Amino acid sequence: MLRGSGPCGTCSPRGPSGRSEREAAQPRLGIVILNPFSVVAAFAAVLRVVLGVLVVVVGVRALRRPSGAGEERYHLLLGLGVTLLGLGVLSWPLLYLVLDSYVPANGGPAWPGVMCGQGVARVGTGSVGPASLLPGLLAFLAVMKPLLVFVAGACLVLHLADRQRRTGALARRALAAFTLFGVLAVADSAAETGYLLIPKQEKFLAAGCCAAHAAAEAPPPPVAPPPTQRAPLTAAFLGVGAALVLALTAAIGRGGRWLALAFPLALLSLPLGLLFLCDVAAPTFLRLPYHRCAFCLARLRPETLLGIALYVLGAFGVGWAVAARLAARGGGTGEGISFPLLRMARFGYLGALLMAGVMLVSA
Amino acid sequence: MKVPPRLPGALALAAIGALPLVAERLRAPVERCAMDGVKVARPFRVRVVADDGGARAFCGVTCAEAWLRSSGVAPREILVTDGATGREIDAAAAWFVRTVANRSDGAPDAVRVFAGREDAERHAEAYGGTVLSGANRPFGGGKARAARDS
Repeated sequence: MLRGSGPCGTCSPRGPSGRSEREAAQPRLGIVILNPFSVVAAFAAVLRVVLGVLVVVVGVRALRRPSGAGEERYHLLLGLGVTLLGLGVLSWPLLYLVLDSYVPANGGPAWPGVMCGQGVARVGTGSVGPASLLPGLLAFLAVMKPLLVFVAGACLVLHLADRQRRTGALARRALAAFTLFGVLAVADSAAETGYLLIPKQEKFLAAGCCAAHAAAEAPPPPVAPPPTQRAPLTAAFLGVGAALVLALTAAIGRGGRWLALAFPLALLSLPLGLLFLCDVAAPTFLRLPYHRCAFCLARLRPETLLGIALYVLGAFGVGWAVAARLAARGGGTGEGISFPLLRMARFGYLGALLMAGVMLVSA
Repeated sequence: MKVPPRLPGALALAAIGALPLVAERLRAPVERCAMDGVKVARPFRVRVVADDGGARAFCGVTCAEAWLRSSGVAPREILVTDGATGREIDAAAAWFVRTVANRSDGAPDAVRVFAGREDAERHAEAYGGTVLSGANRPFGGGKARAARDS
């Protein structure tokens, strides 16, 4: 093996280690990344922190008052909550747009081996210092964003169930739900602000000239399972989806008993859908048999985002319908609200399955 | 005229079903890496021609090697691009450098290809890295390579 002329005998001390050949003259990363997406996301995150704190304060104060009092606080809380809901829903895709904007090919920093959002999500792994928090914060946000939307929807369902009867029987539950939503929103937006503000500069313990060499030789991300192993997962995804559509149709037509079957299936459909997305949809729809990356799927086949949204709508719709039924037990009129929610959930699952089926056949 | 209550939903579902087909038709053809879907940059392109005559393009040497390992395909021909001239050459006649210079498109490829030994050594000198030889050469061994390395 021929070697370079470095002091360790392996690499050169004069080369701009780990630098892009085209961008060798640019300064190394060490600052907060500013671009239109990150600025908008940071502004929205700070706004959500403020609104979230307001929701928690108003909610706690209203809960301390005796039942029936504080109607005006309830309306204020509702207004703040709906605004927070809107911002929370928008922040979900915005986070992924920010990650996409950090990709080197889209004008982001020259991180080695980062070609999509999944690579950006791995920045900070194994690093020391503040950058080591980045992957954990992103994992937290990946869970919090959908959870926030679900809780916000459940709050609205409780509110609607309470308003339909006009007895105020569910008002305190709705207040408590909005307060919980505020707490979650503060946690989510604080984590997002932290992620955006932490300098994306990785520091490794062995920071010699050979460390960059080792980083360049890091193993590639896991590859997708071979096509033969994808068939059972595809069958499970389509089977659970079809069972959900049937159970929801039965629940709409024959009452809520079928909802007891649909709810665990909907819970199961979420991890199953995620697995299907990475292990089957990404390699099949992209015609890249060894590439399991949902980020690349969304980037190269943006129409799949509609399918993902419909699938999430289906799962959340079932959850909200269950919340409405539970509200009905508490003296509201959740029974009536649950039917449109069940129809919405069925439409979501049907649309997602239809899109997945068409893409599987045409791939 | 009264609209049947199920018609809007059915139309929406039909539109959802048609969307992937329409999107596929509208997409402009772009040469993408057969391993990870990165847009293939001409200076780093690797082409693998399989025994059945089918050719696949890759964004770099690392992806081409990973694909060959995963697929088990026996290549009839592997063509790499000379980093100095942009010319396509046979991989068996090329010089490879494991570099520490990043690619600005983020492609996970740390191997550079050169037709001439001097160009390869100049790159290793300028950016840091190692000229690969023997068993470390990408795409396995080969008579021509073994003869040259000795």
